[in-house]
Amino acid sequence: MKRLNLMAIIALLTLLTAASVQAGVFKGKARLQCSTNDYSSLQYQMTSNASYQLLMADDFCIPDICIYNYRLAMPSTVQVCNSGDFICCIRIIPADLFCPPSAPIRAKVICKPF
Amino acid sequence: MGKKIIIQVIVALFVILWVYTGYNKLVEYEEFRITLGRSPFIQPLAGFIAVVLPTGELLLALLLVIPKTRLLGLYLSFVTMTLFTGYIWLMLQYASDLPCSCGGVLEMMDWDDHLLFNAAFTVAALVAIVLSIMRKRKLSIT
Repeated sequence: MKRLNLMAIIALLTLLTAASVQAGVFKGKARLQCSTNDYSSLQYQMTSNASYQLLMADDFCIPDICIYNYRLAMPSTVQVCNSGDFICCIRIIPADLFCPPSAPIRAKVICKPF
Repeated sequence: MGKKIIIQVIVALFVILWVYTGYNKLVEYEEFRITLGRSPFIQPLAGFIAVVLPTGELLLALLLVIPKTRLLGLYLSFVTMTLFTGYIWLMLQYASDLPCSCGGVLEMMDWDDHLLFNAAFTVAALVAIVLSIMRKRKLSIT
């Protein structure tokens, strides 16, 4: 019983710590996420002084063949933004057409503190 | 007494590891699924693994928390860490694009560090299993 309690407490503390970090309690940073299909009109403002990593996620034309488009698009779409910067959710037009025309890559942008 | 403490420390480390990584993968499910989708070896199973893996990690933590299922939890942790280590080794050998889907701060490690980290945990699980079995035998004799 004693051992169960010790491990359970460790598990609970870990869970609380992970949740706190996730919620930005320790980092003091905001998590921004675009969750709409209207990728061209959205803008978000960074809320803290921390640096952010802009991750582009192809959420539409996945996975297989379009992974190449995703990979090719990465260098041009990954950037670092700072407090006060505005980040737009963007629509990526594939540089090469591995994707069928009916399935254009739609990029979902997640601003993630790092 | 020494063996007991070593086992407990290893079990505690695994509880922390599984709860932390499992929770992070579930909370960042979408990002995790997309990252798995970029991985050349598990791409077709990305959706399935994205759900099963974090759930399994939390279940492993639960098995380790309950004393009666602790040894089973250690066996399964050893198998899981061996698979993870093998996967990272394969990625390092054969994949040109290395997307990390590790969860939480573990993403900050580079792939070589990650391989060492996983190998260390695999060995730790094995040590805990051997010590647990030795302890059980000793207790059953006395």
